[in-house]
Order: sequence, then structure tokens, then C-alpha cells
Amino acid sequence: MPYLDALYNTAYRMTRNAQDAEDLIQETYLKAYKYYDKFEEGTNLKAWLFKILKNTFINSYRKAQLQPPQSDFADIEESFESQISEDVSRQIRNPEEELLENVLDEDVQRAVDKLPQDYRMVVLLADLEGFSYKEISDILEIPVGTVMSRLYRGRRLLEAEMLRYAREHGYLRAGSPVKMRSRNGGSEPDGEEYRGRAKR
Amino acid sequence: MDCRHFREAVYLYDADTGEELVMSFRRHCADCPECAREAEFKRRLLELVRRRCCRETAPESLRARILMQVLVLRRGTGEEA
Repeated sequence: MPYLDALYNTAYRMTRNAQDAEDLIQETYLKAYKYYDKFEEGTNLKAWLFKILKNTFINSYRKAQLQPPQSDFADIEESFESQISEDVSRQIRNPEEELLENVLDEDVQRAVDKLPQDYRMVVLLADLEGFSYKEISDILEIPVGTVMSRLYRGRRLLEAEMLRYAREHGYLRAGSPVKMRSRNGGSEPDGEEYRGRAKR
Repeated sequence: MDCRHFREAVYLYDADTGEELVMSFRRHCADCPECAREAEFKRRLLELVRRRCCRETAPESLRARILMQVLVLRRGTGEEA
């Protein structure tokens, strides 16, 4: 069963529930088996399987008649504004080391779990599974620009969340609260220039 | 490339990012220790995420259930088991 653990791990992080994850994986493999004749030998099996997982996941939401939550970056960013110092690393000596060494497993997982779903999915695919933007774009059936935008936001939120836990646990002394880069002042980077050569 | 540009872009690298841009990043890092440090922090942070969030392994029972399903499916279509 190729990539079973990778798929299961992703399903678990998306559903945050072992039973739901197992059901998802079961259905995913069943579909993969049924539709294997549609798979082109020699192409990216891992990406193909993840695409099936993605569709299975979305369908399970439709069946439960739940709307996958829409993320509004502006709202989320606002909730961090008063707490996170964007430049904390420039104010405190070696805060990164303290964070990296002292962060608890559960904090990392909690930070990932807290990401809005569409950001979480992209972060999981890029940072845990090592897919490229092009591959993620194919899997999720969204434009590469959207992949990059979600990845950028997701990673920034992750960092902010982990810094927040670090302060709560007291292994990062609080710097003076500084707003995260303001929305009007900073625009998001233009993804175009970072796309470079697309992998086949 | 200036610091602001660098800081915005540091989360957007991937394996496909063009060489010219990668060189541009590296040159800036060489000239600016603060940005270099920040990039390194972000790199290690993401690595930490990968290490700490890749721990779930599929239970044996799940594997067994999937195998069973496939067998049932095969029998249903008349394939040889």
C-alpha cells in the first residue's frame, strides 16, 4: 500500500480524528484501486493518491452538509496583532534557538491544527510531503498563485502561533508588542517571480 | 534585493524557484547577517514542523481492512484472488 503512512498522517492532520482519518484512507485506497486504470504508469503516483484523498475529503464534507470553513486572513491576522512581535527575533538574543529547542511536540501540532483548513492542506503538502507548487496545484486543482498565497499565509500564521506559545510557556521573554506587518503597508509578494521553471 | 523584499519572499521558495532569484537571495544573505539569520530560523522552523508532525502511522487494522476491501472487490468483478 504505497504512501499509506503519508496519506494517513495528512488525513489525520486534516480531520484531527483517528476514526475519520481511517475512513478517509479506506475510501481513498478503494477508489485508487477501482480507478487504477486511469493512472498513467510512470507519472507521479504519490500526487495522484493525494488528489484522490483531497476529493474524498471534500466529498465527506458535502455529505455532512458542512461548509469547509473559509479563511479570512484579515480576521486571523488581527487576532495576532496585539500579541505578536514581528521583530521579536531582532529584540531578543537568540530567541530562535530557545524556541527551536524548547518547543513542545504538542505545540507544533496544535499550531498546525489551528491553521484554517485550506492553508493547512497546502502547508501539509509542501512542508510535510515535499510536493512542489506545481504538484500541489495539480493535486488541489487550484492555480499555482493560490497555492503560493496560501502557503505564504499559512507559514506566517504557523510562525506567529508558535511564537505565541513560546511566550505563553515563558521561554521567550515578551518584547514590546509590535503589530505584524500592517495590511495596508505591506502587500503580499507577487508570486509570479518565484515560480521559475515548473517541474514536469 | 532589499531586506523588506527578502523578508516577504523568504516563505515562497520552492525547488522550482528560478536560479537567478536563488542567487539573488544568497547574495543578500551574504551581505545581511540579520536576514540570513531570519531565513535560517524559518528554515529550521519548517523542518521542526516536518519532524514533529509526521508521526502518525496508519494502524495495522486499517491496512487489514483495506486489503479485505480490495479482495471483496476483486471477487465481485470475478478477478482471480
